[in-house]
Amino acid sequence: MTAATFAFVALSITATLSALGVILFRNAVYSALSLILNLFSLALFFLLLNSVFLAVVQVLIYTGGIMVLFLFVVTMLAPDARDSEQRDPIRWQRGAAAGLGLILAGGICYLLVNTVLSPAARTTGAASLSKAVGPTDQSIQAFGSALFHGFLFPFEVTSVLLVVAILGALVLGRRASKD
Amino acid sequence: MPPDQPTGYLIVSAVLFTIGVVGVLVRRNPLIMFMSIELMLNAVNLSFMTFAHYLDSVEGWIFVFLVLTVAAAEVVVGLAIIVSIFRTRHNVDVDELDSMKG
Amino acid sequence: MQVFDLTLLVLLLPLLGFLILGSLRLFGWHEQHEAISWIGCGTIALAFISALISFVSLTNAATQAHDTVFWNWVASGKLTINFGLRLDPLSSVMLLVITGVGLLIHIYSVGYMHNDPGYWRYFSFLNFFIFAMVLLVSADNYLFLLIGWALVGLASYLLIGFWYERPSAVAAAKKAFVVNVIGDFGLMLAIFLLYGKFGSLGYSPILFSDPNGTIAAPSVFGVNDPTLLAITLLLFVACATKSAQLPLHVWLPDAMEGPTPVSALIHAATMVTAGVYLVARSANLYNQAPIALWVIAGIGGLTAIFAASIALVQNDIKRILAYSTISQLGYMFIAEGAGNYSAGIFHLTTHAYFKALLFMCAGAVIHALGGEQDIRKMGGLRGRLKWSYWTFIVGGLALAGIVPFAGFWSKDAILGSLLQRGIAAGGSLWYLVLYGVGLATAILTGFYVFRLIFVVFHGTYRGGEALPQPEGQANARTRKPRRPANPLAQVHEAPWIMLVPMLALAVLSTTGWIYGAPWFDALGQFLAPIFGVGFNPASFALQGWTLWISFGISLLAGLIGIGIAALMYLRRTPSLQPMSNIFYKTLLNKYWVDEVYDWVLVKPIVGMGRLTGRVLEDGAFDGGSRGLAWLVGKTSVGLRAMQTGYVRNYVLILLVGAILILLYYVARP
Repeated sequence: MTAATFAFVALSITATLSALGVILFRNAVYSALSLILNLFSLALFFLLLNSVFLAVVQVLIYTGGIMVLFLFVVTMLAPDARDSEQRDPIRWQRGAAAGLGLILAGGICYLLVNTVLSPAARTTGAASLSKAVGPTDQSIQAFGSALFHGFLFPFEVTSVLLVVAILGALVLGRRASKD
Repeated sequence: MPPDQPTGYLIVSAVLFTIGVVGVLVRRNPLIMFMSIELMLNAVNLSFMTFAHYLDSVEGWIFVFLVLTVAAAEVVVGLAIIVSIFRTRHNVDVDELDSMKG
Repeated sequence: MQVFDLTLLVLLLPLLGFLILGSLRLFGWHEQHEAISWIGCGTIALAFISALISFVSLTNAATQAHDTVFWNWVASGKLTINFGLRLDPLSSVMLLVITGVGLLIHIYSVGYMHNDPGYWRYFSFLNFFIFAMVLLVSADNYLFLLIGWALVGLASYLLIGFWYERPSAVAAAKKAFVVNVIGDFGLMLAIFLLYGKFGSLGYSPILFSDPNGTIAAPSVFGVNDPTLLAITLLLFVACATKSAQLPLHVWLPDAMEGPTPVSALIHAATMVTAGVYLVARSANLYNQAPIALWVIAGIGGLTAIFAASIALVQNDIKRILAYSTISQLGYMFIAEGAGNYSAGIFHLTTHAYFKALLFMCAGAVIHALGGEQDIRKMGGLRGRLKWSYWTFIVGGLALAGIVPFAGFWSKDAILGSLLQRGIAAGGSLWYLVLYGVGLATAILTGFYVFRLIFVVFHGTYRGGEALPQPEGQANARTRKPRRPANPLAQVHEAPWIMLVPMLALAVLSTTGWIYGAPWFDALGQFLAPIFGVGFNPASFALQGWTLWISFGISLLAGLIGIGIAALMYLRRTPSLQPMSNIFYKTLLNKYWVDEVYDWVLVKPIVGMGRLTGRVLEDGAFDGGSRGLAWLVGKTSVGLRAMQTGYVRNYVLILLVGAILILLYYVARP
């Protein structure tokens, strides 16, 4: 077993267990911490897949920004809420969720297992927007070029989206005016 | 180096996605539901990265980048909404929002 | 000499009157009684003059029939129907009777309906009736005959129910119309059969197209051919309905709910004679179907004696006269059934005179007593109502068949021809049976009409307790009595406008027989061509001393009836109490015919209607649409269960949808 394989297996287990932890913990703070672990293992996955930049971005933004925000809100809004999750008021929700989840997983896995990536698919990158870069060039420079040349428009729109989100958060976060 | 076929990664991605879906369905705490949604998004990010690697293409990275950004914006707005709805309650339970019933 | 045919005028003048008078309400001129009287009577007067001119020119003309086609109504493939009018002996005689007697009744109505608020409506309907009746007799094809037939039925309905605020009048009008529809139906079926056989509905092709003489039927039908029997019997169904023969006579007594002049015109002189006219018109068909003629004579005879027997015990003036009409119509059908069509038409004309006269006199009495119609409450009126009394006597003698009044000659024409056919060489018993029935009916006729006269005019007045205000028919609707001091003080004779037509009819009843007297049967000769080549009115006449014997027997029958009535009722206080024996009860209840109809027909049909209403309408139709609504409601309630309001449920459903799409890709090869 090579180091890569070992790393992959270990990371898979970590990711899966932490994901289960997210949905199974009663305490919301524990769930949030589980999610942080999951995101972190995903960052390591990205590293395995040869992308340093995105691994770091994942840690920085997701784990460092978003999850912190989550923790703030969780701790603000009843962190140890022993929410009465003993009984689900909708009767067969849990059973249906479990069943459908199994079907979903099975279906996707089946499809993915039968997907064989042919070597020919690799060259389809030529028909993509990232014309500025060669198809086999995977480096940060390539990423930057692709982003600012081929995908400029989505990039700009995303910035507008961020502005809108900030404004929305501001509006929603205001206390209701008392009149 | 990662194996020849992306199957393992994709299966992991599928499993994480499913766990996220089940989490949305089963949990009643809105914050945990939201976290499950983030889980789903990340599972998809993983599969994008996998394909980017196995197709030698940078587009996958760009997708991941954009998904990340949008997820961030979404979290901001979503949490603001959750906070504004559940600000004054003691129990946070999404089942209480059933005014669309019937 | 050319025929001067004014039939179209005779037809359109009353129509014009109807339209003008009918529209008066729109202009608010419906209270102008004088103008209405002039218009209403004027149109009929002009129509009568036109009919007279046409008649006179016809008698002098070379050809005895004059068809005028005005307008091609239907020209569709092989079916051609024209609107045309035919002037021939039969139709011209009928026109004279209709417009002549109609005119007298219009004039009489001016006085009788004087105070009625519906005066304008009355005259417009009366004009409409004349129009419809003229259409009936002068049409030149069976279809327009049918149209006229239906329209007179309508006019009858409108006029019987003239006082529509009275429930009894409305019910009587409905009854008349419903029974009439049966006749219309028979006529329609006959028309279908006729068209099937002849390909046309005109009188000329069907009745008169044989160049050898005027018969088409023999060339198409053999004697007593089944189709021909069907046609003739169906035509007779229509006649039996319109002319109130057994068992379809039930509408006529109830039709007395209408104003008395209406009873005089429609239900004595003209409308009910339409059946007699139809048989006479179709004589060529009937000559080829002797079985049908037997049926007609049989029913006519049965009806005559049946109705006369009921009239013996009735207590309402108008009902007695109504049953008398039914009985006399029976006589006319006996005549036609025996083959003597011209005698039937002769009796039609004289009956028009004296029956209209009798109804008018009855109207004068009713008018004088302020609406009273029950003879048990009358009596001793001959002192105050002299003119009415004497004209009533004239009418009664004519009806009973006493010489020299018109009724004697026409009734004897019928009875004489029956006797002649019965005793002639090769004659059959059938005619003698009919003769016996006719004689018995004559006795009964004399009895009931003079019972009526004696009870009403002789003796002492029995109506003292409740004499309503003598103000005319306007009061008849309320019938609220009032008590004056001297009961007869308020009773006064009818005004001159009513008496003059009565006198005119009295004169006609006395002299209007000359054209049909046995020695110079002008009417018979005039009408003969209509009734087929083999028809010779003289062949029905008795010769020599048998003629005088027949006269004597008829006269005797009438006198016997009158004598018995005199014995029983010509006294100070005749006994008018109902008897308790079963025969009396049966007669009083008109043989319970109406009750039988009710049980056999009305109740089952109404019951079926209710059943259908419940099962079919409420159950199937209403229930079906309500059930559909219920189904939709239940479905929506069921579907509404999906809207739980829980976000997680909605996500679940999303997931289900996503899985379905997934499975599609899994299943795809």
